[in-house]
Amino acid sequence: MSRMSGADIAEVQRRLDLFSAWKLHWDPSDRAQYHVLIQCADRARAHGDLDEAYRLYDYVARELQGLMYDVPDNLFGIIFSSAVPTLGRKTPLLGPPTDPGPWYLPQMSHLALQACGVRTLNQAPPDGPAKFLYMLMPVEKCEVVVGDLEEEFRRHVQPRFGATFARRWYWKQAIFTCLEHWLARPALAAARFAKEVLLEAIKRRMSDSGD
Amino acid sequence: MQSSLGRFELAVLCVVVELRGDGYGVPIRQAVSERLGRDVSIGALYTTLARLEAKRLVSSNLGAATPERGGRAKRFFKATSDGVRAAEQADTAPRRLWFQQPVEGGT
Repeated sequence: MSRMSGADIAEVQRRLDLFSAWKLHWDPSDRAQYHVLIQCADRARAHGDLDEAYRLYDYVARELQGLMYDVPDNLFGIIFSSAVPTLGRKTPLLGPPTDPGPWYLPQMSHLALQACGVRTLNQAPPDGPAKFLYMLMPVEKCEVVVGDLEEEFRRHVQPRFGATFARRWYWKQAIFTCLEHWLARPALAAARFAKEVLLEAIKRRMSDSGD
Repeated sequence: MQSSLGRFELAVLCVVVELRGDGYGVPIRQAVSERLGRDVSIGALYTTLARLEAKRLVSSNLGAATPERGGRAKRFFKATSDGVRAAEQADTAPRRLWFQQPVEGGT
């Protein structure tokens, strides 16, 4: 198994130092710092250094366990997390948490498990979101949208974040797609109507002033 | 005719131009998300693509079905010549606002 080179280790160390500096100015809504760490872990894994990769994944997983709560993996949880994104969080803890609680972040633990070689992948996408879309949207549009969502579920979201997160992501995308479909047309029609009324009023005002 | 484009519409149009006819929902969504630095829902993307198609800035055609997509077809999007021109002119429009100079080839 190939190990990381000295330059790579230095890069990882540099990013970890950067991460420590960021922690001083902690913003719970900013996940960018974790993305950097996950990139480091991905890089370590690509170089075959599973120990280093696991250490980084585990670090991120343990940090996130203590920093925020997650929401239930059901329809209520999706609506709750979308509508009130700040309510599911708690203040940062110092050191590793002792009790992650019932709202444990599944996607991060998945990364740690994946780094250890434990597979939690290859689950089929849920049927519910597709049925939901077919029920509420035109079939020809659904075919393409559901195909895209299934492809992204299998190729990108599930391998990266695990089955639980991917299922929730799929539901969320289906709900927002449906909302976009039903709300975009009335909003556009209302904007056109307002524009016509305004133009008419301006024309009338100009013709009145001309007389 | 030069139609006005919003920031999101412009980002989608530029990605479609760059992908040169090979763009469908998944790569377009990822590229737009990277470009704007935020997550973009597939619904918002298709609504915008439909709007661009109504303005005749992009055209689409159905591709082959693949098992990875549960046997469903892809819809490929390609920028029309008007679309390419609109993307190019969108770059010069802010300069015109700053310097009050007419854009070459514009109205």
